Amino acid sequence: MKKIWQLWLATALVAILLTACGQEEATPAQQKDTEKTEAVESAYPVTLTDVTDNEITLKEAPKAIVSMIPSNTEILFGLDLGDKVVGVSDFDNFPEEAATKEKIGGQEFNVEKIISLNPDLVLAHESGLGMGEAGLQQLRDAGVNVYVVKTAMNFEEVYDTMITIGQATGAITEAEEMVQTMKDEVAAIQEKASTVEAKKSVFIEVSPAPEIYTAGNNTFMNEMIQLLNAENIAGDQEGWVKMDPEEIVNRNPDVIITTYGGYTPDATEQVLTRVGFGTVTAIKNKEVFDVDGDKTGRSGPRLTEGLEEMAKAIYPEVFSE
Amino acid sequence: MNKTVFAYVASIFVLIAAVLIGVTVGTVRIPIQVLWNPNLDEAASNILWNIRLPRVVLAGLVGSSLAMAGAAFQGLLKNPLADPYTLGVSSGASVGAVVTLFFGISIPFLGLFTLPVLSMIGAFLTIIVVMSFAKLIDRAMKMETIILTGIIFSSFLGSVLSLMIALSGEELRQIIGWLLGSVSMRGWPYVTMALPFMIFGFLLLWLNRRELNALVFGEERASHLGVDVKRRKMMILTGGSILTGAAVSVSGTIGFVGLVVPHMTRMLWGSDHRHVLPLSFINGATLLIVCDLVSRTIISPSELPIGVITAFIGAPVFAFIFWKQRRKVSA
Repeated sequence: MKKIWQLWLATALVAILLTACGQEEATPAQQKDTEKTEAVESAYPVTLTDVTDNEITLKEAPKAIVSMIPSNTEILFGLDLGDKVVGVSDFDNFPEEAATKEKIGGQEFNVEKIISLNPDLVLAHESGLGMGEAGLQQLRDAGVNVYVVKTAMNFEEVYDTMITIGQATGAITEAEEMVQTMKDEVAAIQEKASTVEAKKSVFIEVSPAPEIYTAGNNTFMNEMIQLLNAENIAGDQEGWVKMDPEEIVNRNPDVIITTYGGYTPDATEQVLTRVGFGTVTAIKNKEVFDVDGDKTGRSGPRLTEGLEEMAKAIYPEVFSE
Repeated sequence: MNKTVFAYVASIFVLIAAVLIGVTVGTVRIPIQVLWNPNLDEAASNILWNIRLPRVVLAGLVGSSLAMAGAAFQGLLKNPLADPYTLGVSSGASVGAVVTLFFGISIPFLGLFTLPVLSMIGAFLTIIVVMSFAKLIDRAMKMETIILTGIIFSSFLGSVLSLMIALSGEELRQIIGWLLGSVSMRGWPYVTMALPFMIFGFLLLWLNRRELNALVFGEERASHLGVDVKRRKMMILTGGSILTGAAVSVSGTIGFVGLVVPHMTRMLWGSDHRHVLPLSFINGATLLIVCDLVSRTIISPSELPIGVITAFIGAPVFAFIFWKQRRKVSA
């Protein structure tokens, strides 16, 4: 029992930490023109301080990088540094090429394996500190450069992460391009969404019945719903919560979005035929859609794709091409 | 006798109160009239009949099954620490359920029922294996043998569970959620699925209430009193295991109820199994209905797993009764 408890606590913590957050904002995020810092070819040595206040100095662009979380991997590949990545986590499934890299473990990573890969840079993540801090210290003690990436709470922080990773890897120009592309896409989607006349309410379902969990405030999902000019019926809740099904029915969302279709067959079918949910508008109008959980939950370059999928699900009349 | 009548009246009264409160109180306020007048408020009536009521009923059934099985196991194994999970039934059921979640199994025709069905199968396979193994070792099936066998199989299956948890990624939240126990979102189908097994288990134990009383004096004495010890023992173990398997397969492993409700019942109203079994049955239902009510209202509109609440509420209640009883004895 005690073990189960610890596990549960650990899981809860991880779930909370893995969640990226979207701050409630009365107005949509203002597009800030980032001042183009001229990328200098010989930017090295680079000194960076990470979220744990640990300072690392890179004398040259890293040639062998270990990425410990899928979002970091997606950013690295997005910056065209795929060939420099020598190790990834067990959960890495995108891009396909990432799956061919050496695996270093998940929450519990293999310190020896990482050292044996001889990386000049290990990109860890704040969400893994709970279980992995001691392991990271071992890596540092072995003389490996470990940079712990901050858990991004919203799009802005994802952009910051991208720029930082760009600085560390010498791909600053690519990082700025990546961020600009994303900003443009988000702005375009937001523009379209602002034309919506009838605002819809949305319920996000991140795990199927009987344990229905949803994404509340301080999650990417929530931020996306706000960007799309819709309303999250669980917006008054904090992080990932298990919501009382009665209340879901009572709040009566116009759209239900599931994010687990990737590993649960007939995700939308299950929601449509759910007993007791027949009175919900989303089910009456068959507005139940599945979007890719990775695209909406990983703080990487595919977030805009996730946003677009959500947009098409919520306001098909505006966003369908 | 008078005291016994009072015990039943009081228990049933509290159960009815718990059901009524459980049905009317919740995240969404539902006036009690909706129960007999569904046209009053269509939406409220839908929530009441399809979401809330099956939940209350399932909580009651699971609680009563676990409490009664616990009472039978404690009496039979003469072990105050025995509970419905002693024989490893819950680990077997959990392995069945977690395998379903872990591999994302969905059997055609069963669909959403894949999990409870596989869980039930896991429970029954465990009983059969535990019993056969105990018999193989010791033809007389001594209590110690049964307990030890149960604990060994429990541990083994527990490590299988831990292995799957360690290897799981996306499904982790669901697995943990299931292990912590919940009666949320099961609906009537789960009730109708578990009910026949529960009735069968209940009858098996009920038919052996007198034999349980005799077995308390030891197997030898019981056989002098004309009890067919071996056969009765099998019946009681099977009955308790069926109740446990049915409960675990629909709601996950909910601790504490099966261990403590029988003790409370004995402290309050004596240890005659003719009354301990039905009274545990009634009070187990009450406790779990109340716990579920708390789990879905305390941080409404979010929910807590019911397994978190059972000991939270149960332990202080138990401590209070224990303390009062001791005071009485020493006074």
